[in-house]
Amino acid sequence: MPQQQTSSPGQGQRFDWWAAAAAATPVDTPSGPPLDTPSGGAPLGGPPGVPSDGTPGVPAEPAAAHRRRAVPAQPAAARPAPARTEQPAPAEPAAVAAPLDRPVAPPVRPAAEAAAAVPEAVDSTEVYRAVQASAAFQDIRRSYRSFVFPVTGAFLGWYLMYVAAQAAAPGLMRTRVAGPFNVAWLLGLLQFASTFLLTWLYARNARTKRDRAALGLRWDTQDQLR
Amino acid sequence: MTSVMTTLMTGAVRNTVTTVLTTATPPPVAPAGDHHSLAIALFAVVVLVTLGITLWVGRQGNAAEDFYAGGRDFTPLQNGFALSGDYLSAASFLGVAGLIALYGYDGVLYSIGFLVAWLVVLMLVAELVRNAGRYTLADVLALRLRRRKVRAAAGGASVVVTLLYLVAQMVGAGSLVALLLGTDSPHARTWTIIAVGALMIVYVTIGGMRATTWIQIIKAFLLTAGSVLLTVLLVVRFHGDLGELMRQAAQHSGAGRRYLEPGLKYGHGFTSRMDFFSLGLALVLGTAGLPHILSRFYTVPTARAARRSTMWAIGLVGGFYLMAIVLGLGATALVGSAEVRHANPAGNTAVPLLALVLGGGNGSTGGVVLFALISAIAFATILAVVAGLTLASSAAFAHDIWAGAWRNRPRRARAGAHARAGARVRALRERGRGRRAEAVPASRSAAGVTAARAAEEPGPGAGEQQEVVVARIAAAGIGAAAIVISLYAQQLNVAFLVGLAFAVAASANLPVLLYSLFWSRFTVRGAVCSVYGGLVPAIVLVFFSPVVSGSKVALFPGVDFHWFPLENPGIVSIPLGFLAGWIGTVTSPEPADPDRFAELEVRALTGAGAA
Repeated sequence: MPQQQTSSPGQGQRFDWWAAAAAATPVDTPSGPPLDTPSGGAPLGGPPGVPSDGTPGVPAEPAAAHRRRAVPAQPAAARPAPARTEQPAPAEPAAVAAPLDRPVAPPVRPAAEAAAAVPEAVDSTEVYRAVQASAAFQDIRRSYRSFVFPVTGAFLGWYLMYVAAQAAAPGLMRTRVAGPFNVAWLLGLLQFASTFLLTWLYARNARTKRDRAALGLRWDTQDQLR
Repeated sequence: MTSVMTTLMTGAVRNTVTTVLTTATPPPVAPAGDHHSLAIALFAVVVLVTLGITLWVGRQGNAAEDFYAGGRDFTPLQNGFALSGDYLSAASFLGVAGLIALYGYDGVLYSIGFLVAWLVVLMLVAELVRNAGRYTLADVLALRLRRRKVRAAAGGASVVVTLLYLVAQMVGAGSLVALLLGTDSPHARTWTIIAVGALMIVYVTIGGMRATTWIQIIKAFLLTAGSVLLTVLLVVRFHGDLGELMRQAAQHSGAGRRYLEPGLKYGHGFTSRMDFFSLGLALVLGTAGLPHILSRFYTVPTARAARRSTMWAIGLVGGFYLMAIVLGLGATALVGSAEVRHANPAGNTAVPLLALVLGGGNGSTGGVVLFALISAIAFATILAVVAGLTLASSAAFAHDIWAGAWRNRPRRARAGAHARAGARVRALRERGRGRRAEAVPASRSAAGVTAARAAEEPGPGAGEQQEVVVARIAAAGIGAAAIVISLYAQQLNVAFLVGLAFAVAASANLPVLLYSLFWSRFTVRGAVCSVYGGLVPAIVLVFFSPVVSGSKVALFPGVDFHWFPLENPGIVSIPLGFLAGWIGTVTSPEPADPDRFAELEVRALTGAGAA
């Protein structure tokens, strides 16, 4: 990868994202693409070597146009991603929040102002921190965790109680329910039923609550990383 | 051309197998009759078909992505079948039904843990692992904890888990195939182990993940089809009256009503109950840490596909266990517990014997055909599972231990000179966090997501090609080691090994995986402590348990140095794994890196930059 870049931005100086991407291109091209082989069907936002037209002097608009062009390379599933959430991420300093605005209005960033804001370069770390702090991501995370953690606790408890009950309450387990069926069999079959039910509930929760938002955020994040 | 070759090879294989058979003693256990020759022919068909697939598919690509992840282009349905194929070993197919045939309800109790475990996989692991990793479990950890020792620890634990599982499967395969072929001679068993081992090495080294996946798919399809066929025949025989089936099973079990109640197998005293609880805990938590299951999620393109393949797997596994209950009851009702136990003390031949009866009894064409079919399915099951395990093991060795931890070790003298070498960003970072500011931003910002990965992973191209070569060699080496261990262990009672593999997976792999994915303060030291804190107690406790010494069926029956009362260490080692991870983290001198956690969390939940 573009190791030559290590020395080019001065230490403690604002690192110019676009200039670096362009300058890195020649170095990038031979080693970049195999990392995200398109044949894998894994829709990375496009190989890093792609924006070869983004020479340092080029204004921001063509670069943005280029990014748009890159999107159709992604699979059809990506298309209906509606939530191009432009979260200003209020908690973050302005310079950090800036990447999130880029897909809509790529700001022409005055290097001097930026250098004053953050000592370190805007790199993928900043992008990930900004996305993590964004309300859209927090929503996804909350909806995921608030479903998965209680449910996991519940089914693990239910299973371990079922296993422990064989030893703890053998009399109850032997109680006849209907015909040869007893409570033990009933609970066993209920374990099957609850597993299938929770599988369905989880899939429905993921499909209706998270999938679209996560996909939108995915392309957003990858746009910013490019 | 192909058909001529096929005929020739079939003839050759059949001749070899018949030679083995004719020199062996006549079948002492299975009912008399020549129902084994058709089984042998079908075994040969299974071998030929799987070898054909391997050769055909193996030519489709040689990149690391092909070898480890099958090109990542399988559909959720295909991967769901492959997942269930990886999971339903011969021990499940024949073993669970056999347990139910012998112990009734307690067999059902045993099977449920295997199913509920999939909820952990579905909810906590599948999607996040798919998004955050590339080929192995350690990839997920390395995204956040970029240290070679984390990779080495996780890779080592993965190799231990797969090797334990592999030896259990191969020793089982030896006795099982010998049983299905109607011979009990040690020769047949030895040659079976060698043949199964050689086949799995061929599958993995030539075909990689793609061939292994296709073999799993075919096997899972056959397994499902065979189970459905037998279940339908059985239910029709009982006119759809499952209550009658249960009554008859209880009647022919020799235990009466107690057959349908808990306690026939796991009810002898407090220790036995605790042991089962420990096993249940290991089963339900271990599945999510099994390396060969986790690496399956990389064969689909997206996290959503990983979720849907897990759902398919849950449906198939659940359906399978429901059918196994019916088949186990049917075997007791129609064959009888005494007969099943006489054929094999562990009940492993219950399903084939049931097939013989359902087909019309011994000597009838239907019975012979059905017996041969079920035996061939069991054989395909054995082959597929050992291939999946060997692949996961070789991936853990080549990708984690060799390429991640060994090849990328810091070489200070070379770091400056070879600025372009794939490993140097990592080497720079290894020297200390103070230098990160220089080493990281340029590479990362320039290439974004991929650069971050490049910093962690060795460069593509030559490096990955080399890694795949190492993986193939490792597959051959691990396969050879498994053959040797299995040959040595074939007289031993290794039934506890599967439970142990699940316990190690639950104590060494699952805590570190869950902490990494969900705990923002988790550190490198916590990860290393967590892996070893689960792995070492599990192994040590088993060593000092009754399965190694101090009982008649122990590995070393003559001596007694056991002090741990349980056969399965899960109930102690799993909490220890979690505890060690927590202690390691809170005592860690360096705090967790919030940047890394942000990257992991965003990538895991949204799929940004997923491979």
